[in-house]
Amino acid sequence: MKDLTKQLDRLKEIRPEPSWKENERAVLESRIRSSRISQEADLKERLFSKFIYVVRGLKSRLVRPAWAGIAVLLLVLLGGGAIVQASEDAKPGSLLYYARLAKEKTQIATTFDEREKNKLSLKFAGEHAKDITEVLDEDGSQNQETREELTRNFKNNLESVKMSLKEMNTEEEENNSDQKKDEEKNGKEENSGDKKEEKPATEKENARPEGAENSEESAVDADSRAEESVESAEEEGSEESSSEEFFTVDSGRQEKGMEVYNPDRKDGEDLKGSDSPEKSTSSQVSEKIKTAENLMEEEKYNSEKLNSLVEEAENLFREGEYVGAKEKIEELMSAVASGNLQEEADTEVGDTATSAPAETETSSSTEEENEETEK
Amino acid sequence: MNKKNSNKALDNIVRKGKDKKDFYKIKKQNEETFLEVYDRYIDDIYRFIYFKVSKPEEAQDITSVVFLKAWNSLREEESIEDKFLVAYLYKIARNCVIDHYRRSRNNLSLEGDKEEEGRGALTDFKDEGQNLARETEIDSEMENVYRKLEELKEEYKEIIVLKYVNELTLSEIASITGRTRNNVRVKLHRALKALRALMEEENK
Repeated sequence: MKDLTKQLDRLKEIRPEPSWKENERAVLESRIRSSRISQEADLKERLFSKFIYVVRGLKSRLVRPAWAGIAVLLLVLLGGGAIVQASEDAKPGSLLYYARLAKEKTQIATTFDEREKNKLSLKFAGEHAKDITEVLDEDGSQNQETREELTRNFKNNLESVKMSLKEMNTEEEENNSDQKKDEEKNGKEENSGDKKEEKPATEKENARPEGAENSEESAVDADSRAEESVESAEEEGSEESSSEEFFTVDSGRQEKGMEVYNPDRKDGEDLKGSDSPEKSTSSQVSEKIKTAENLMEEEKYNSEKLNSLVEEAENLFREGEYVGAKEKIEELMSAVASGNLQEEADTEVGDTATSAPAETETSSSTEEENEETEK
Repeated sequence: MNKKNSNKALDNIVRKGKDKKDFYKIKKQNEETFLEVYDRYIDDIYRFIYFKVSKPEEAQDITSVVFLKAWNSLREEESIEDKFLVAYLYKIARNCVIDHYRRSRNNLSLEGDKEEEGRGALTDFKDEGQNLARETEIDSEMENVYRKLEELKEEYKEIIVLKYVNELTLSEIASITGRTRNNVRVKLHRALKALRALMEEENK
């Protein structure tokens, strides 16, 4: 076995010629290098052709009018959106400030409620004035022209603040006076309603002897009861009195064997129960009028305060106290903002307060209707 | 000493390449590593091919094609199935030899030599190869073994050359021939037995 392996081992001497090996190595090396270079070239060519393909594809797509239109539209929309977004904090003097002004104008133009419009214009004018004071205070490097322009703008903005405040005040006054008038009117109507409801009672009192023609005794009894009922009606309210009156008149009919309305039913009880809000309405109305007057006074005071703040800011700005002017404007803005909040809270409370009596009124009116139908 | 160390390092890459990273070392356009593989395995691959074709010129041609093919396929393929890179090289060599036989057979049939009809291309080369022993100036003892090897079955001859001449492991041979390790061991045993029988027969 060892001999055999030794003999086989000798076969290792079979080798290619060294010169051939050398040549072959050189050939292989050159082929490897060339293949690498060609591979790199292939890669570059492939990338280039891919790039050309993409560019051509884009070109052919962009050339189409529809695609071009969409691309331009997208560009404008995105660009516009980005500019508007970026102009949020733009200060006067910068290019984006005009974009901000345009955005604010659009916002005001698209607001249809006059009150909201005034609020917005007040807010924007205040912010502009504040920004101008900031710019003048922070950067003193502007030339005289821009400073003059900024000062002019500040004055304009303060003027528009004043105008907005004035308009808001006039609106408030109008609203309050309207409210006051309405409440007064309502109060009068309610009083006149009492009187109107008393009328049928007296009419029926007059009509009483007609009902008592056939039996005088019963009529006398009925008379005495009716008198009592009128007295109680005068004390308690119109509706009950009228119901009692019906009872007295119908008592004559009852004796005649006619079908009569019975006031002792629960309807009558309901009516008795419903007279308490009637009593309080007049006092409520007077209270409301008083509160409206107070509000008007308060608002008058507030508007005076706001106007004085504007004037103070103007004076400080004139004197070159930009920081003080800015503080005054900030104070003014916060006062306006808190006033808005207060108003909103008031309106909410008012809504809930007015809704409650309305329900009682409706309930009483339905009861009246029921009564009439039964008659 | 340095050459020995570098051969060992290369063997680690090519023969013990359990880690696929070794394959990627060559794949990463590392020409130097591939040329090292060439230097290390050119003789073995040449010998393996020479025992198959038995003609030095043809063996040289096929060997140069094998290394070029190996380089191209390493560059293009994402991964190789073979566990050992050396097995990958031998497989390419085997396929190149098969391609060579196929082409030669076609050429012979085109020539229409009636005398050659019915004889395989392999036997033609075998006959010619027997004379080539003289061309490589091998001594009589070596020539004897060579002749006896040529008489063996192709699969026995291949396994004996891979194991005792090129010194590959059983696993590597299994990977090259597509057999199991046990199957290779059995075949090797039988091949040696057959070779010994042939040698003893001649001595008698």
